[in-house]
Amino acid sequence: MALQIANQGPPPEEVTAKLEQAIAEALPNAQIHVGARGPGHFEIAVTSGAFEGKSRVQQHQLVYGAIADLMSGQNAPVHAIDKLECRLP
Amino acid sequence: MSLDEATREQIDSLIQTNSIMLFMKGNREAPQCGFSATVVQILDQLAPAYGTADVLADPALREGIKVYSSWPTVPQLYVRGEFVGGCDIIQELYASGELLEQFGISLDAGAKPEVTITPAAADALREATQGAGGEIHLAIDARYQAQLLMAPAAEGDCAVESAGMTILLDPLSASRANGASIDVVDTPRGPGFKIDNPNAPDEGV
Repeated sequence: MALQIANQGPPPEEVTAKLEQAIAEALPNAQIHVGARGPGHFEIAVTSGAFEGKSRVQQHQLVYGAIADLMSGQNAPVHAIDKLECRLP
Repeated sequence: MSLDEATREQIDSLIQTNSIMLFMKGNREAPQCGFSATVVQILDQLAPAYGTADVLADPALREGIKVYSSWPTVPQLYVRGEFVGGCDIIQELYASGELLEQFGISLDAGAKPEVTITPAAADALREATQGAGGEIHLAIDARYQAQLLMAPAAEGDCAVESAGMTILLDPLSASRANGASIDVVDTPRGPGFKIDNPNAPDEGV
């Protein structure tokens, strides 16, 4: 019998696709890379012209704002973004 | 995922009323998470008073502040109504000196405070630190709470000598230490160090 792990959550590829989609909706024409690092943990790299003239905190706020739904609540599919890189094209 | 109108108004009011406002887990005296504790430790060096709100005590605030700031984690620091960031960013800004600027603190580089150590205190310090690693530091926080501690020497530390002892002060502590004296007194729990600091505000603050 296979070992059952409680609260395993959705498979990571499903969540990375949702993250990519949410960021693409907020930042059209952005280049987005999302990688899974472990259950609930992800790393994101985004290249977008929307970051022009913004501080690093403001750039991160644009991305975090876009994916807030996926990080909210007790059973959120995304527990943490371990690494977030924002670059200009 | 929600930010209701009442919570938004609550956050608006908190960051408008407190020029330094920290949303955290726990409170200043008892932080409930390591990241919040780190930020409290930094703010204690910089500001005698600041506002805190405990998100663990208020589920609506806990979710609401994340939406309000577009930031997924707590702690979160606001200075004069502006979002500064979370723990990592605050640590970076503190290390680079930018946070001091934001708080309006300018340090006189190379200023050396006069600190007096009584011969009895020097003997006691020598005995207490024998075999211990690191250097003796005198740390004085923004509320002028002073303590002696052993820590490795850090860049920017200022060394003062008295009674044949050398003690180190970080730049912020040094800016608050001129005229301070270290003595040994008897307390109900045995002898202890007593640090007098003429720069400290009157008791009761």
